[in-house]
Amino acid sequence: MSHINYIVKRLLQILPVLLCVTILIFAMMRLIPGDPARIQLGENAREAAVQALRLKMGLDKPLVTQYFIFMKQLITLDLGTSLLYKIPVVKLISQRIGLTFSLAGVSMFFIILISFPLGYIAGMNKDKAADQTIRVISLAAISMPSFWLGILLMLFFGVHLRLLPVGGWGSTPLEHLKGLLLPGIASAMVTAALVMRNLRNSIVDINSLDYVDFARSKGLMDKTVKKNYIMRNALLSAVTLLSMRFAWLLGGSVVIETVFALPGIGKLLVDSIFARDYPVVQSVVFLLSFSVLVINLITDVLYAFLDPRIRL
Amino acid sequence: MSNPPLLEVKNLYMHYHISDQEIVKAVSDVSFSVYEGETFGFVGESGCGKSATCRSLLRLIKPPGEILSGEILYKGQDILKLSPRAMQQFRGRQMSMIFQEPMTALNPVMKIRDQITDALYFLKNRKTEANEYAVDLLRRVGIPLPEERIKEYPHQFSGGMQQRAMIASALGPKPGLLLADEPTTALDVTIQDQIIKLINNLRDELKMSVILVTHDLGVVAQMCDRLAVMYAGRIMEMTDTVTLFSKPRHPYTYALLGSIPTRANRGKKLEPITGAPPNLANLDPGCPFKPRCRYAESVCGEELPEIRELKPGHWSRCHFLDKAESFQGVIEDYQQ
Amino acid sequence: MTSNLNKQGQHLVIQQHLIRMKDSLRIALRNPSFLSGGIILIVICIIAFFPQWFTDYDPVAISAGDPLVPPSTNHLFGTDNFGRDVFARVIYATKIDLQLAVVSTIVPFVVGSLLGLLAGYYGKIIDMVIMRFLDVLMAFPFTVLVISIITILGNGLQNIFIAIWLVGWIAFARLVRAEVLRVKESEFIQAARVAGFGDRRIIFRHVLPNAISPAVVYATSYAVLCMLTAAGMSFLGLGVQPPTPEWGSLLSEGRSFIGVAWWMTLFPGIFMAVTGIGFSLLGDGLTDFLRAKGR
Ligand SMILES: Nc1ncnc2c1ncn2[C@@H]1O[C@H](COP(=O)(O)OP(=O)(O)O)[C@@H](O)[C@H]1O
Ligand SMILES: [Mg+2]
Repeated sequence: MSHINYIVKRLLQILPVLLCVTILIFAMMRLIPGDPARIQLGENAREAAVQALRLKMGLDKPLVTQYFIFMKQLITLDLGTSLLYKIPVVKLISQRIGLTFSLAGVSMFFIILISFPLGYIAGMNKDKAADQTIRVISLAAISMPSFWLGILLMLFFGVHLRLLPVGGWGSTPLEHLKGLLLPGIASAMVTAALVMRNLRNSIVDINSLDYVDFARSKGLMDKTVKKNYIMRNALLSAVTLLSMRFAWLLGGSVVIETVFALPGIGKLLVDSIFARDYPVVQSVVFLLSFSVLVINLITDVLYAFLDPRIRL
Repeated sequence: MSNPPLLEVKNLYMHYHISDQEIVKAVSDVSFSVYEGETFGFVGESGCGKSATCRSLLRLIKPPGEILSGEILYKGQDILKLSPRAMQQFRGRQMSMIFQEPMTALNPVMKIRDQITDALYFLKNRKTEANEYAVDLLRRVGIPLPEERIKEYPHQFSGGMQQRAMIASALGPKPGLLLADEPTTALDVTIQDQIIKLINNLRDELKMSVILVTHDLGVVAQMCDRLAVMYAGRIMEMTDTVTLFSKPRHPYTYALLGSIPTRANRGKKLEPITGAPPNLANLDPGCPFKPRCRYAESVCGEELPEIRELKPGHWSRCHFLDKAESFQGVIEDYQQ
Repeated sequence: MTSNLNKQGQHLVIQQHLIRMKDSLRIALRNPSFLSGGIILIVICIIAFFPQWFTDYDPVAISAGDPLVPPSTNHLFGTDNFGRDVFARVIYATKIDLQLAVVSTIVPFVVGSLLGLLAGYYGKIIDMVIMRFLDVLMAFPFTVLVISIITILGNGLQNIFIAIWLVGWIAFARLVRAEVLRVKESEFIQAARVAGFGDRRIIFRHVLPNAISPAVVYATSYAVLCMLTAAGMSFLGLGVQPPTPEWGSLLSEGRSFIGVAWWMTLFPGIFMAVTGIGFSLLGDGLTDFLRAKGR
């Protein structure tokens, strides 16, 4: 019951933020030089159509009214038609969003696969050779452009070994998965290194805390101490970091989808910017920031479940 | 005392090897014995190596700490020679420890119940039996409504209740010897007394021995049969409680006794010990207490005194044991 | 007379500062991370400012040689699709990328730290405004925010700077604010206040030096972030425009010829990674150093 209250409370807390986000996006669209109605319809639109849209957007009315019209369109998902693809923006995005989230999911999988074991090993062997090696590797991973790593992976596994596609999405689920492997790894690297460091440092810190010694002093098995006392606490901060980085992965999809020619919303955003397809740009930016807010909400709730100290 | 001691520690050395330039000599040449059913005390100012000694006894020292030499004989067996696996089984079942800060010694994300039951190795049916046993333990340590509170997390407990829960948890595996590292320091005065009584009662009920660490001489007087006064990682004086309070034989002990109100110095001005304890990372060759000692002579700065037995069971580490009786001050008051 | 004494005193203080700085430098140089990071960055700086020392080829002129020649003694890193020497292009790109890393960091560092300082020290309204602003901007992924701003401003190097500046101050403000809140309560600040020192003096002489370390460390990783993000923008075609050589746009050119000319991709990336590692090592060393000093 208290958890439901908490969720409702957090939901209410993100509303003002969401409001500000919409104001920012609205402002962004109005800041682009030119007539907003023409921007929505493209250079080649007929004057009559532009005139009609002007009326619909309320461009003759005060900005506040225009904003409310914009909000109403957002809420009713009346987001206009893509200039480039000539289909409704909602439809366009819904075709592509699956890929981007799958890509983020695959990255998450690799992030956990890489960072948890390595972070554990480094933390448990503080300052030993394993720790030092892992530290150097993570430092390098953080300093590298992930799109370069992506291209190198593509070069090796795609061009050289011919094991995986050099890009594209294919048409069957298996091809989809194969297409996501390399970009998934490439975009996982930086976050994996960050999570690993975080985990390593948490483990080192927790290892010196009294409750770990107390657990040992009761004669618990090493395995139990590591599982219930060290890892359970170390994972708490890793979870927060992981979810913050999920938002980052969504942003990073912009570049990585371009590298691998994957038709997700990241690539859609870039293509629309080049094509001056502003209805799409505005919707994608809104969608991404909305996702971030939802992810943060989920994280907070998850954290509240995991950490009993959080007051609900 | 004709029985062999339960625990006998011989010449224990434990250092924190921080770097080749900085070696913290936390425990040096510590030898003592604890007999069945008795409470043995360690007193000394903070930072003198009391906790380090306790942790050494359970081999809970992590790098850069290192037990260099010595023997820790429990029922005749040297636990420094145990394999890690055997050591793990030794902890809790033979010897367990309660820590200074109850708040930090309990796992914040585990229910109190799980932190008690996870050490109950001897119970077959962990679910029901262990729960009953844990509730019973909590009742014994004086936690009201144990059936309810056992489901809570540490942060929902007050400091005193956390301390009780920790005691319950440490006693779960039925140790023969309990190390209590400043069990009252973090608590309110009113609760301190309750905890002391609790430990005393539990010792008799469960027929354990207790090593009680504290910097509070009052607590020691209430609880301990014998005690050791520690300074700069070394035992300076060791004897039974009555003798220590009535016929102390070490200048540091006089100073300690002179700094607290006791029956002996009632009406007299208390004299806090001047100066600070030495840094354990760079000790001078002589007696570590020398800079603060009222009776120090030149030899004290040159040579570390050996610890010597002046009467059966009364040990002291001072160059001037023969003269010590004639040192004026507190001592006369005590002899009345 | 008094002013003379005062001057002498100041002189002494300055001398002490110098001695302390020298000591700090000596300790820092003994730290392997700091040292190796510093050396890498110095080399990168030399390459950035004197590219002509390293190559005789023109990085931009198209008539330089045969296209898509693999690495050889003649063309260390091979040539690109227009026959330009890839080594020369990578070398000449160094300056822009170093700028992207440093200039994009310094402005938000200064502005963000100042705002964080004000927010933390004066609290209340400024604090609330900055924190709410943070909440909103945090809802956008960094890359998306930068892209949105570039969408408004248009493509190009300058606009990348502006976009990163607009976004970057937040993190610094937050870091410094948190530290200031901590330092503000410390005894020596209270003492300075009791002694009647003015706010300005307290803030800049006492609070700032004690609150800035995390921001300094963060600046090194932010430099990497900026360099990588800006290169990413150029890779997408939103940043530095061809034919100006920049590592990100070199990679983008390489991406098109991935099947035939791997050298176009490998080498610019290596330079970028090495520069990034240089900054990270420096930051790592700084962390160690500041932790040791804090003890
Ligand atoms: N993990 C550690 N690393 C280095 N030195 C330590 C560590 N723990 C304790 N010490 C040092 O060892 C000495 C003894 O500490 P401790 O046994 O905790 O003292 P006490 O319990 O008597 O107050 C102190 O000087 C302390 O600074
Ligand atoms: Mg202690």
